[in-house]
Amino acid sequence: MTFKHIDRYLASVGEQIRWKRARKPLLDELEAHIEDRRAELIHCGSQPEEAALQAVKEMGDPIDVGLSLDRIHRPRPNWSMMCCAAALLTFGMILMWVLGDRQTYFGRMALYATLGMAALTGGYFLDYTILAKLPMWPLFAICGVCAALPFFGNMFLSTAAQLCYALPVLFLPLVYRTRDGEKKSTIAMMLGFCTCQAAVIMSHTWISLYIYIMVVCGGMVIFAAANGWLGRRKIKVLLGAFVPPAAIFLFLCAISHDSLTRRLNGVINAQDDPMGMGWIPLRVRELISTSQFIGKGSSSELLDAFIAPNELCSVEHLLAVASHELGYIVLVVVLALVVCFGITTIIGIRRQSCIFGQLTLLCIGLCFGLRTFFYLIRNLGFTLIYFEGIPLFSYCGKLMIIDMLMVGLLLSVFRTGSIARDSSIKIKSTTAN
Amino acid sequence: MKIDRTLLSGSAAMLVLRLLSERDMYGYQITEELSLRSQNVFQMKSGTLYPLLHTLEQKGWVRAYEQTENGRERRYYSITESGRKTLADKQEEWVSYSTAVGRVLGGA
Repeated sequence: MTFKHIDRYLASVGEQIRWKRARKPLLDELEAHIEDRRAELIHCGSQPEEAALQAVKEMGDPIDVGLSLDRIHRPRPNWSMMCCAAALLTFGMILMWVLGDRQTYFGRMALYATLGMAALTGGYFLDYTILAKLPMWPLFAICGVCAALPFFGNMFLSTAAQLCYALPVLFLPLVYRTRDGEKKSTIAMMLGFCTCQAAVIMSHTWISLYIYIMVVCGGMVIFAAANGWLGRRKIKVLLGAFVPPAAIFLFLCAISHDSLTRRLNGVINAQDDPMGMGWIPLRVRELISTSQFIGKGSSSELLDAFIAPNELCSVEHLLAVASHELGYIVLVVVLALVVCFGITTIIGIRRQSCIFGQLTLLCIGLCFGLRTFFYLIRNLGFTLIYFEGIPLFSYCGKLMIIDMLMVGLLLSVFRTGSIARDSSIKIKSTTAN
Repeated sequence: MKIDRTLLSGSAAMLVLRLLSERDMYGYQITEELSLRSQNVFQMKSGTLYPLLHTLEQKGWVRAYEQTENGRERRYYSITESGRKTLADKQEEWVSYSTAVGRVLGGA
């Protein structure tokens, strides 16, 4: 039942709120208040029309209410995160120009950064809740592409790996849909989780990306369990989600036991295999240990010896090279920027009232955090497993475009966080997909 | 007795935080509870309440979450740790202020 007094009041309030996307959630809250008051007045003996009029009167001047809400609710860019992102990108580009491969990789990085800026802008202005409405098929389609690409030749391996980095974002809606507590949603989520793992194994990038999928997608499954979305099935789902993949992981480790042992040895006892697996870790450690706080490191031959056999060394270990050539102040600055980025994301997760916003921040935060951690330890001479570098800062090929889209989505969560409502995210049923 | 509105607006944040420190509430419950406890002296209008709640949320003193109750989606507010600290500070400030006012009035 609608009442003209209520509609007129809400329309007047809405006219004062300039941010169009904020109107509906704010007016919904006011309408619920009026409805509560109207019901109370009816309960006390008023007629419905009279109760509606009285309830509206008690709300106060609609212009004042609208203006007050308008002052509070404006799109809020997260400047600290924007500055960190801009600083990481600029710093990475400058270092690549000064120290990296200027001819090949800098040009590519500049191209991907330009395309990435368009993706970032798109992600920033996009209503990020649209992700929650994504059907299941894009996840399965990308998984299929990742699994199929290696069959077309080794040149597609890196493209397959880069696509795998985007899988957690497509997995997000499946986790979010388990909020309805229905069995079919849980099954869909588990199916998505298994498909991501299968795609990673098929894409021949198994060890690092398998860990990536396990941590990021697994983290989201734990988030769903912690929020009570999995109900009484929680233990079964968690066991199903983590025990078989752990067994598969151990099996994969067992079948590649020799190369894994050599790699681990290369990290732990690098000096035992100085010309083999220990070569890169040893050189990187030397670069770091001979660097100064500001200025060129003490051993000038080291860098040439490091870069000469493989130009990619300077790209993949740009931070170590920069620390040696310019001082480890570079490492400190990059560390400060990524810590600031991480803290802003964690604060954002805690402050978001929209659970989908929290989940999006968690997903992208885990994706970036994991890569950053392994890149940093690689640049300190501990190449345990290979991950693409720090988003925005390192050269990551076409992945840079996906990274920048993800940064845009992160910023979009912060920008619209105050008005995002889970109740306004209408999701199609899982079976409909 | 009619109370000057500015007296309420100066302490509105403290009163709302105090109510939320006891249990989570939605907007309408807050106005009702405030009115009940103050014996109808404080009748906060939505024009004051919702901008205040949203400001407290932006400051990180309260958190909002949605919950369905009797088929209706409600937006509940709950106090955060930082909100509790702010409440303690504001209460202390209020005690000093009211004691000082009392002394002046008592001495008049």
